[in-house]
Amino acid sequence: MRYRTLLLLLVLTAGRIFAADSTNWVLPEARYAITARVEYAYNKSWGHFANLDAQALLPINKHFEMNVNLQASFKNVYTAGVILRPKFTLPVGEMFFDTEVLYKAVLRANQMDLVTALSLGWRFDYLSVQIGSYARVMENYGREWNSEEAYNVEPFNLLYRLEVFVRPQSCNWNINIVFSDYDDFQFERMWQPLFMLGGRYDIDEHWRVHLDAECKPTGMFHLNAAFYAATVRAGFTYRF
Amino acid sequence: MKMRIIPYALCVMTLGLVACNPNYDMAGMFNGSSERADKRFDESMAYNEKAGYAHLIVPEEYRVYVCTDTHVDSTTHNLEQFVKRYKSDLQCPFALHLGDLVNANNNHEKFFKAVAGAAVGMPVGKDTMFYAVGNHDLYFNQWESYKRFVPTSTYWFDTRTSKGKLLDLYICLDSGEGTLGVKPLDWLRHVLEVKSQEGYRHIIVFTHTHMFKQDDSQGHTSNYSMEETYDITALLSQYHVNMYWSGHDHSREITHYGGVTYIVIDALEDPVEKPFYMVAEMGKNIHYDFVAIEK
Repeated sequence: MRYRTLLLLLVLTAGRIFAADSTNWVLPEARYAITARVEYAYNKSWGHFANLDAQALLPINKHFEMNVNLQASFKNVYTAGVILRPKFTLPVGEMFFDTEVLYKAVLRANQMDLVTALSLGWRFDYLSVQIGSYARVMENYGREWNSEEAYNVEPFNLLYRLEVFVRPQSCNWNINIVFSDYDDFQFERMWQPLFMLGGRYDIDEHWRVHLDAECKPTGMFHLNAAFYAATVRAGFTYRF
Repeated sequence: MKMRIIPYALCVMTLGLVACNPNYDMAGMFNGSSERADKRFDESMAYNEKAGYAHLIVPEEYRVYVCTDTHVDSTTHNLEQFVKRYKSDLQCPFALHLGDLVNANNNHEKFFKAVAGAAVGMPVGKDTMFYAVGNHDLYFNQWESYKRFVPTSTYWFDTRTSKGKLLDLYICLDSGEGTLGVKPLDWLRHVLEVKSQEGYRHIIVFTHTHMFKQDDSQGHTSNYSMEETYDITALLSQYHVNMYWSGHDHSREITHYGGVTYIVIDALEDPVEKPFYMVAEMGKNIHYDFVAIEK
């Protein structure tokens, strides 16, 4: 009985625990922002290469925001993603629903990869969790579109993301650690996790700099796991 | 105080049981214990150079028996049945095993003993089985024991008639890590580029790891990263590979994509309820069927 009471107390106070300041745990209000980043990447299939990223955050109103993500890879792969995000402030943290469409033109392989994703997230000052599902359609360019062999459909994939911050969101610098099967420009299969470590620093009211690193092993859980890919991203954000 | 210890003790016991279970190479699932793909490839190429590539003389129409995921542990019933069947089929010059010969450590010897034992009394000359390496053959640093019996994990062989007419090309890949690796991918590109010019009737790629999983997608087993999926599928389509045969997922699935037929074959391991293997009729066209082994 004593343990149940403790558990109940823990759940009820979770937001306070995760928040930096127990009297003001509300996340900072989102602002219109544009981000530009360059990436150095390596993977065992494509070798060494670079990517250019452009991102925009559009908080339409208090309960609705939109993200646009664009990436051009020097390996002849081009990616565009749009996220529509309704969000609601709860007594503890903030809940959000991501609806994402990510289109990848893999011109090097004469294919396209379209992902549509739905997920539910809950974020606090120090933690953000997200779970959902996504569907994938891969298609060969230049093949008879209505032929069975033109496309591959993977209708159900689990989407997950666990992000931990070392400081509250309102601080002018922060470091985050992420365990997830997707990022802004890719959706991996469920058993193909990505490990990310990132940092940001707000130079002033408008300018923010980022530095992130990402590692993708292959074959985890059901194969003879090995290192597969690494990415380092650096860039800045201008917040209006 | 004593009560508080219980949850911790349960966690430790569970982890301990999992870690001590001989079937789970916990470390290997997070950081593979066998030699890496590129190193295995180097060893395979050194062997291939010494041993050469096989050219099998076969009739224009023949059968290939294909099984996968036998996961030999304490019993070898299904494996023996498979061996007896392909060896007693006079139209079958060879068979393929797509990996995960064994389940856990120290079973490769038992596997090959069972294959040899089942072959006793069978027609002479029908004793060729080609193997792909699976993740269970690599766990517990088992590449060392696997290569004592199968010294190469990446190779090709072909079939031709007694008059020298080229028939079919078979390419075996080592996908036990979920990536072919840098050098094996280059090798595959080179082999396809050269061999596709030689006029083979069909080109078959066989390996352990499946490319796609449309049904309950990836709910069961991990496979390639997306980057590798794009590149390998493009390569297979570009060089008109007919089929990609794999196992690993234990459940059958057939996908047609980019002109290539991707087949995931059922597991043949003893504990499964409905073990199947595949029989491919190789002729002008390829016809395939799945055959059950009765318990």
